[in-house]
Formats: sequence, C-alpha cells, structure tokens
Amino acid sequence: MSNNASGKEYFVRPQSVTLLQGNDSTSVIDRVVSTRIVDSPDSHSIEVLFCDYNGRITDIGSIYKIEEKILLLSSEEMGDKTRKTLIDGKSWDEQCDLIIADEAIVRFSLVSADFQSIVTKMGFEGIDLERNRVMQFGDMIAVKSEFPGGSVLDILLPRNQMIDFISILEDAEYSEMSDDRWNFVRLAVCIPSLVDISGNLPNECGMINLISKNKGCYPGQEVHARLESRGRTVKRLCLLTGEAAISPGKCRLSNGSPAHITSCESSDGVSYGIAKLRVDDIDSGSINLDGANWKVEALTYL
Amino acid sequence: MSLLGGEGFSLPVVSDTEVVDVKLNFTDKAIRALKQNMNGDEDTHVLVISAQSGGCSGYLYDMKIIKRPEDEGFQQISIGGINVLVHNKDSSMLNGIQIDFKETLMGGGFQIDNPNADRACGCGQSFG
Repeated sequence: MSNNASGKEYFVRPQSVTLLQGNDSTSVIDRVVSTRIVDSPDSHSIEVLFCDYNGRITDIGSIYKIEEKILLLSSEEMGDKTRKTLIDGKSWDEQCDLIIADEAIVRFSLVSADFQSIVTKMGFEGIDLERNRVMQFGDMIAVKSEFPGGSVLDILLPRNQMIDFISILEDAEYSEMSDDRWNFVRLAVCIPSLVDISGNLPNECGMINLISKNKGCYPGQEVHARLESRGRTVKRLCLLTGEAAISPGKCRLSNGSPAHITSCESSDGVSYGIAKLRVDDIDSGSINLDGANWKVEALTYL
Repeated sequence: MSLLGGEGFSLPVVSDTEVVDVKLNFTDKAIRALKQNMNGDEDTHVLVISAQSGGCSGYLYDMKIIKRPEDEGFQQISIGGINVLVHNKDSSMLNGIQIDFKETLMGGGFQIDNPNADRACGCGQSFG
C-alpha cells in the first residue's frame, strides 16, 4: 500500500475531544472499552474500541494519558453518545469529571515522508519522534502513528493557536487537504474511520489487536471471547485499489458475491475503496466490479 | 498555560437521569445473609446498592457495606432493620430489583433479578 501523498499535507480533523480528570478516570473508561488501559504507560497514545453488548463497534478513540488526566479523541458523530456512556456509568463514589474540549483543542494530522523538518520549524530540534509516544512541545502535543500505508503526525494544540500554527505549516511548505483529499489519503494510509468499521465485529475490521483478552468483562466481551474460540470470520473489511470510480453502498461482484462499499475516493487516476467482502473473495487477491478489476487486500488497521 | 488548561473547555458534563421512588424486594434468605454480613453494625453502617458501567451487558451491580455516606442523593429503604441506600442516579435502573441469596460453592452469594434489564450476562453480574 502506498499513500500517494507525494508532498507535505495537513488536515484539521473534526473530532470529539473529551478530558477526563479525577482519580478514577482510568477505571471509568477502562470498564467500557475493549482495550486494557489501566496499566498502560503515561505519555503514550492507545487506540481503543467502544463496542455494544453484541460485540459490534460503536466508536473508536485514541487515549492520551497526560499529567494524570486522560484526553480522549473519539469520532465526531458518536461523541455525545460515547460521553453519555462514560458519564452514566460512573459510580456515585467515583471521582471522574468529563469535560468537553471540542472548542478548546484542535487536531492537525500531518502526512509527509519526513516529519523532522516541521518539528524543527516548531522550535524543537533533536527530538526523536517515537511511535505512539506523546511528546509535549509547550502547549502542543505531538504523536506519531504508523499505519499499514504510512505514518501520520498528529499535533494537538489550543484552538486559539491554530492560526499561528498554520503559518508554521505553510512556512514548512505544508498544504491543507480538502475533505476529499483527506478521505483519499486516509484510505491509502489505512487510517481507520468510524464510517467503515461501525457495526462490525473487531475481527472483521482487522482490529483484533484492540481486544484485550486479559482484562475481564466489558461490553461485548462475551461475544469477542466466543469469536476467539468458536468464531469463523466470514466477511472482512478490505482495501480496494484500482482505477475506476465506485460509489458507497451495497452491490454485487461480477461473480455474484455480495459487497458493501463503505468509503471510496479517486485522485489522479488512482481509486481506493473500503469494502466488506467475503473472505473467499479477498483471498483471491482481486475482484471484478462493474467490469473493472480491483486489487484486494484484507485490512489490518492496528 | 498548558494544552489541558486553556480556553474553551466546558464545565463538567452532567447527565440527566430519571429519578423514581425505589422499591426493593429481598428474599428471607437475602435478609438473613445481609444481617450476617452487617455483623451488628446496623446502627452505623448501611448497604449501598449501585450500578456502574462495565460487564458484558453494559452495567455492573455493586453492593457495599459502608459507613453512612454524606452524599445527600440517596434514597433509603429499611429492610429488616437494615438501612439500604440507592443513589438517585441509579434509581430508575434498580427500582423493583429482587435480591436473593444462594448458598452454592460456585457462583453463590447475592443474586439480583432486575425487571428493568433487557439482557443479563451469564454470570449474572451485569445487565443492560
């Protein structure tokens, strides 16, 4: 997979940003996510899944433990529902305040072959960006994430510093991505999005690494445990790479198999899509859809 | 000023919850077991029954014998001379529960049957 991101680009990502503070914040959030976070180290980002009791994904988030607080970045569309799950599930004697920070913190996602130049421009020379390590630069936080198709540098900063930071990015020759361009890049790099994974089981999305089998019960745990011992993955999300244009929705492959395309984007003659296909069709390595051939790769997001 | 302490942060999120007058049903076995666990501290201690997120089905039951909490958001129900407290925030989820006590080597202890639950997990400790 190649990200086709030849230059330096950035995107201001719409997100739900929630700050959890209080002694019991970690246990409040740990009880409702599928990923064990209670013993995770400080200053590291952790990807987590929120699932329903049927084990199906309802939201995805990134957790940063900073200064004994937890910053949760989750999907914009499910933000309020995820917050309600957290606040409704707080016991009467737990110390945990949820604070909405959508208007306070902004997230820039940078795509480039080399992030060192922007780090230098930000005034922090000699910093080695480690994968998933939360680096604090004054009021900013930087986290480098690696995906199957490339790396992304996320910068979180106070919204009132956004204009100044855009000037720094422009000085470093970064250009802003449109929504369509971001969609293309995130498909190429394989950055997970709720639009593709919502309602699916983690194993269908290549996200089995976000299931902690040693953490005990959480919503969906019974189903996830059975998938481990008895389950057979029939359908999976996969990346389609081709040249033709496709549209989201349910359709049939030329061989009659069902397909559900959740995302797609084209740029400069290259098209990417995310589709849920039968495993047999993915194993063949290519499919034909409306007369056009597509390369197929099962997604392993994280 | 740090990233987590600037402008634009909301006040802590507060969830609106329905508050109902709680009724609890204890079986005779449960009352006997409860008295045994109170160990004569009925005057100073209370049983708090609460719900919190977690478990396979979404919410977990919790039962604690503690000194009477100062929090004013509790409803008090007297069961066989023992004060049982349920917080207002949990009242709609726990109203009408039936509490039994089973003496078995595996999976014994207090068992809760909740008429408000659409589902419960196999071990009986969580509901949704």
